Amino acid sequence: MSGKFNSNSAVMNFPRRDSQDKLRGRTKYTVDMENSDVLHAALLRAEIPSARLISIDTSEAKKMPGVKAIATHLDAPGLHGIGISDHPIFAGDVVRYHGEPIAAVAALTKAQAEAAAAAIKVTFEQDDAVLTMEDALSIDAPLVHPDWENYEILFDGAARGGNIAWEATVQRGDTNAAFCRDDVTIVEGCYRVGRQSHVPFEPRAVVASFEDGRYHIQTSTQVPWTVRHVTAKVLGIPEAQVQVTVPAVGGGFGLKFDCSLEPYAAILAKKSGRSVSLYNSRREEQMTCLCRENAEIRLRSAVTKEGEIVGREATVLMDCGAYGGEQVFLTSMTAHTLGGNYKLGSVRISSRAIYTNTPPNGAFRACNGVYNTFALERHTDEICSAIGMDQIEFRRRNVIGNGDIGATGQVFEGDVLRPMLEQLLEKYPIGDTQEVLPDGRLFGRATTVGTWFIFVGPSAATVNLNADGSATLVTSGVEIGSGTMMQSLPQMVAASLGLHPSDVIVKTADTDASGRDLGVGGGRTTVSIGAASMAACEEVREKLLSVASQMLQTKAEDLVLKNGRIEIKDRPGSGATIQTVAQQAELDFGPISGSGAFTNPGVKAMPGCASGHFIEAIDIPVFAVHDCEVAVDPDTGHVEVLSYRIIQDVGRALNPRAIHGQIQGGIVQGLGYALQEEITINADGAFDQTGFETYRLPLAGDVLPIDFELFEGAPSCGPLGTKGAGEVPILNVGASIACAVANATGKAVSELPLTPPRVLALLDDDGYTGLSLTHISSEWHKNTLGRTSSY
Amino acid sequence: MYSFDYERPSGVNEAVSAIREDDKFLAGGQTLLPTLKLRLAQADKLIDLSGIAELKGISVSESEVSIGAMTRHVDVANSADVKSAIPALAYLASHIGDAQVRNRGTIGGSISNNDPAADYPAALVGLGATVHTNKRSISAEDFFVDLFETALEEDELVTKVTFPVPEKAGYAKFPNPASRFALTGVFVAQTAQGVRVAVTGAGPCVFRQTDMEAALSSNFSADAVSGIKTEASGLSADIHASADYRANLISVMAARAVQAAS
Repeated sequence: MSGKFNSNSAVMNFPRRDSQDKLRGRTKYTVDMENSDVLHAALLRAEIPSARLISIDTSEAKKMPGVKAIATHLDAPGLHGIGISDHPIFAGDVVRYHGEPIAAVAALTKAQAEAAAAAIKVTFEQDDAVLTMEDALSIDAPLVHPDWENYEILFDGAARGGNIAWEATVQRGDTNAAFCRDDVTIVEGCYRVGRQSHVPFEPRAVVASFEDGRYHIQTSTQVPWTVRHVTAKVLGIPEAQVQVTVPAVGGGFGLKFDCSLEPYAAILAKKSGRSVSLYNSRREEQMTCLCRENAEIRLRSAVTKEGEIVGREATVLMDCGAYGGEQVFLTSMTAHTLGGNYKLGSVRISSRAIYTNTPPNGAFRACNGVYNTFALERHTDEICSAIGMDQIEFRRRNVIGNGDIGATGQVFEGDVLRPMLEQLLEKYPIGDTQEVLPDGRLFGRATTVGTWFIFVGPSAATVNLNADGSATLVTSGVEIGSGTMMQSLPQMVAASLGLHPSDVIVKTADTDASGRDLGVGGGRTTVSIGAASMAACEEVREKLLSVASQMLQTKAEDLVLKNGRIEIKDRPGSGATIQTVAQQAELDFGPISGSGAFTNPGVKAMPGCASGHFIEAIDIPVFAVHDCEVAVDPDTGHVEVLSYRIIQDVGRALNPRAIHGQIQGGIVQGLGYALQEEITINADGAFDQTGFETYRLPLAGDVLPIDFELFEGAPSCGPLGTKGAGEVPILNVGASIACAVANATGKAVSELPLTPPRVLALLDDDGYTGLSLTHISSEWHKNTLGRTSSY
Repeated sequence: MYSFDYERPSGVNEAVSAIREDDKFLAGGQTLLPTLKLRLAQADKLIDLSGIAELKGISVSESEVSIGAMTRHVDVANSADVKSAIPALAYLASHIGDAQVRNRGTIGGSISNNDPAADYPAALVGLGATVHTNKRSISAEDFFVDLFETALEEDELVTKVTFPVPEKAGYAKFPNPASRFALTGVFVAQTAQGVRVAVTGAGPCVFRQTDMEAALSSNFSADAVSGIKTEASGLSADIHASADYRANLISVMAARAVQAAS
């Protein structure tokens, strides 16, 4: 399809049409959709991490001023989840985390709703809580879900048991034999990371109503179809009764990749007969953030003195909190990240989502890829130390290239990582490394590689060619800030139809108007919705060209769409405007429209390698090379980042300026993760960091401009050769900072974030003992539920 | 935020006669307003001091810097007179919180709140300043009593703070990356009455580090203090740092403050 028009015309720095209003505060977000009739809702949340509920008495609360409706678990019988249906929206018999909703109240004012929620009488018996994965895996641990065996399974093939919500395993080749070879060095390391909070400017918010027998949900979400599905499922109603529309979204980063507040507002709207608005205060948003999960990792590798990795064993524990959620899905991604980057002779991986009595975790920009890359790159540098090989040389020899196979046996296409590495080293040669700067600080540099994927899957698009010569693109895509809906999609449609992007109207998501979509996340919008849009454009082009062919008495293949006109090839100014052709089409057969669809091609893994994986092979791998220099203050442990530069694989850059913004923002978010951001859980099972005084994102003064180059031309099934570019910049920031700090200090950096106290402790020669995760066995098969053969 | 009444008097007497139990004086509001919003604090009435002209302004003589209670941090940081008389004081003010806090926050509000991690208490104690109220004058060391506790009575209002000009002084702090409060800050001054070393952020209330004062009296150099340890017991420990980490920072920041002293 791309051969029929000049795809270079899709490449431009087209400015965002939403930027002026966003900058000037004129954009209408979900809370601005409140009408004069709206009720305000508040949630009653548990303030203990684990309990059996004995009674919920709403009788006093119902009599409170202004109260119009109260909902509890009796109003929402269904369970939802990913892989397993384990998640009710209200605690009914059991409280499983601090902050879990017990009841929802709608009243005339927010203050009245909050007062009534506080007046609901709950009696309970407190149970022992498991707050850490180590506790959850101990032999006598209380079960977060005692009836885990009775849950509906939505995706087959995983091992489950007790507090192990999900276990995905990979076994390729004979690792046992590899580790027994007498020519290998065995390197083992443990790594640990905390939780990271997304902190979008706009907290989660919803306005719901019930009209004409259907629910209308206006919400700040990345996944309108998930909201539609989950709301219907937990309410026990047909999905067709739910319409989801999405006003402007003030940032998501993955936090809004799950259904959250919507069902509460929907239930209250039906019960009260009024529109209901529910939004999180910043404190609630932080308290119930679906964080990037805390995780614990053990890696073992058998490596020859030439640097060949003949065997690798990996175990990852991912804390999913009280419910499985995204972590169940994300267990799949361990194979492609911890098992990624490098050629492996044999490999076995156990990737486990663990239940704890803590707030559920979720998806966050590049998800577990961020910490798996941290662990893998630190482990790689430890391998280099153990075998005495230069860190760059090791990567040159081992990065995955054309024809190499990944952990699950998929065959990779194209040499990408190695040329990217060379491109970086050419631009920023390794100079004389200073070990100590003139001011006494320790200097370190590191170059890391990373592998992630573009999440693809089904998307649909419709393109209407209007009689005025403009086009309307109808999809379920949501503009969450990356600019995809404002830039790359109208650019692609415009290039295909010979229009200017400003002539392409992009409809905001409405599940009543647009086809199904997996949602905006995983860098998939440009690729998946883009491909569906291009397919829709192809139908529009064919119709336009057939009409024009008649009008101009010229064969369709001799016509080009360009500058709003259909011209005869090589005869500029000939032909007719698209508007004229569109109007002729209305007379011939009616208005022109086209529909298109996309789904992933389904790259194959090696049969039998992976079990419990939602994604056995990645359709569009995406690679990154990062490099940074740091200075470590040996007296305080403070780390300053002196330079940061990256080469990013983007397939093809449609809007380089937009990608630059994503790179700068993604690296900054990664620097926060690497150096200062962490959610910790106190003895009550609640988050310690409930506001900006305790949880601080990097500010402009904390960060630096990022140097970058884009790597174009890597194979991709994306339209025009694109890959998603917005998610991946964060991928190896934690890895690069950690490796640079390790190089600066000569110490084993095993944990993030590298706060000053943590770095100072590393530097203490007597005090630092390293990290040993005794609840993850050195014997790999002990970290599985035994479905896999143990040698 | 719970509802409250609001009053904006134009004189000190008017302000102190208006205050009742459960009312609060509002200075720059950089602590009070967030705590009200989070319902961590509640007031029947806020008495806004921003309309009282006599509480604002800086005057500098050869021997003394006088700063009105409602003078904003940014005004102290930018004052050419303060920079010339006590550069360390202007430097300290320029590093309080962030630009928004410095544009609203005041010295009177900061010291009356006596946050354990605030910067100003270190300067007041380190320089041997005097706090003036509508009733009396109080030495800085007597003024700061304990965690969020001062010598102020209910109807007592800080009007100004006077700082004797030292021979030289320096301030160094290690900011909390989240709040920019001092995880530990040390103010060092060489004065006519001897050397003073005041530590903020490390403990529940600002305190003098007398071992360091003794060492610096005989040898005013970074080396003289960098090896002096502070006992960690009694220091603060929280999600940001342990007491041991803060104890180490006292030595490091004291040395840097001495190095910076001018």
